Amino acid sequence: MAFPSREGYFQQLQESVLERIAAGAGEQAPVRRSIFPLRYRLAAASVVILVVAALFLFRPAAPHTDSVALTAEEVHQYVSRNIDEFDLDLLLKFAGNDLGHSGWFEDASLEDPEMKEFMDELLDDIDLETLEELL
Amino acid sequence: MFREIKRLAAPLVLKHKLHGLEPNHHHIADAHILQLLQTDGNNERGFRLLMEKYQERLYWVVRRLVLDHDDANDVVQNCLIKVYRSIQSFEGKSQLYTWLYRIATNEAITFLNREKRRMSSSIDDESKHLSGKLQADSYFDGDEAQAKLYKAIETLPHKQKLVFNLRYFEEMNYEDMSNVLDTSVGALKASFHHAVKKIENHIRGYEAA
Repeated sequence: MAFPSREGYFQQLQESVLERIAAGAGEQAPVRRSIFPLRYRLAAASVVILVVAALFLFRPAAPHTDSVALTAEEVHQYVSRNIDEFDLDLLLKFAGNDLGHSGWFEDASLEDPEMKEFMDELLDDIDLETLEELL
Repeated sequence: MFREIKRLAAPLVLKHKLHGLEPNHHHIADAHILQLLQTDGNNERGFRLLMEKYQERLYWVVRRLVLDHDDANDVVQNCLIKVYRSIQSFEGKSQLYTWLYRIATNEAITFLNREKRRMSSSIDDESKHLSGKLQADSYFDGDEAQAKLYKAIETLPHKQKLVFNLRYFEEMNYEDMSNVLDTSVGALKASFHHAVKKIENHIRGYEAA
């Protein structure tokens, strides 16, 4: 192994962990959170819904339409079913490019308080004009 | 060139696998460990079994991300403490090891982001910083070729590095990785592809210099 571990390290690791657990037994258990909390996924999904709906509504009319047109409800259902496939790329791209914070997001975690605050502001600020820009 | 990367990494993968076989508790079923953990009076025994079964794998995943042994030790300890305190919330919807990897990788990425913010540095600066750690690490005993590979890996963004390491060194399948990283299989495949390309380019540049 290019990185050998110290001899007896893993035995010592167990004892260290158990000691720390015993020392901090009264501490509140941390809650495991997803990298992308549901709220932000929903926000990203909403953007995607609007993009898909807009593309659908404003697409050039085809001379012959054999397939059945999608309704807004079907689009919504599709997005709901595949919500895990959507990430925050659109939103972050908008924030990175248009607000001049591109360096921020490369490895930023939404668990960071600063990032959360910024995302909250960003979501609050998104209006139809912004969405039109995204489109 | 991808063959070259495989050649460089082969001894690392093989040794890691052999190393991974050493623990005596790999045969103990996760269900048994979870049962002990959730039984009053047996939870410490259950947690010891969990650590004995998984601590080395978690350590190496973290170590390859943060490089430094002391940093890896801190991150793994924090990870295991979180596991102990939140094991009751494990619903068994995923495999235990993917849940553990998820906590470990989140801890490692959080640590790296904190380090990066502390240094207020770019990816390039961070890569140099991590490469410096590699050179200064008295526990690193890889040859020049392995050091070259690790330095190339250090040029990747955290998420790409994580995907590359899990796929390449851990040989984790994309479905499990999708559970660990909460990312679609397609995105992971693309990420791995980009990572390999970047590593190839880095090694080519290194050899040309």
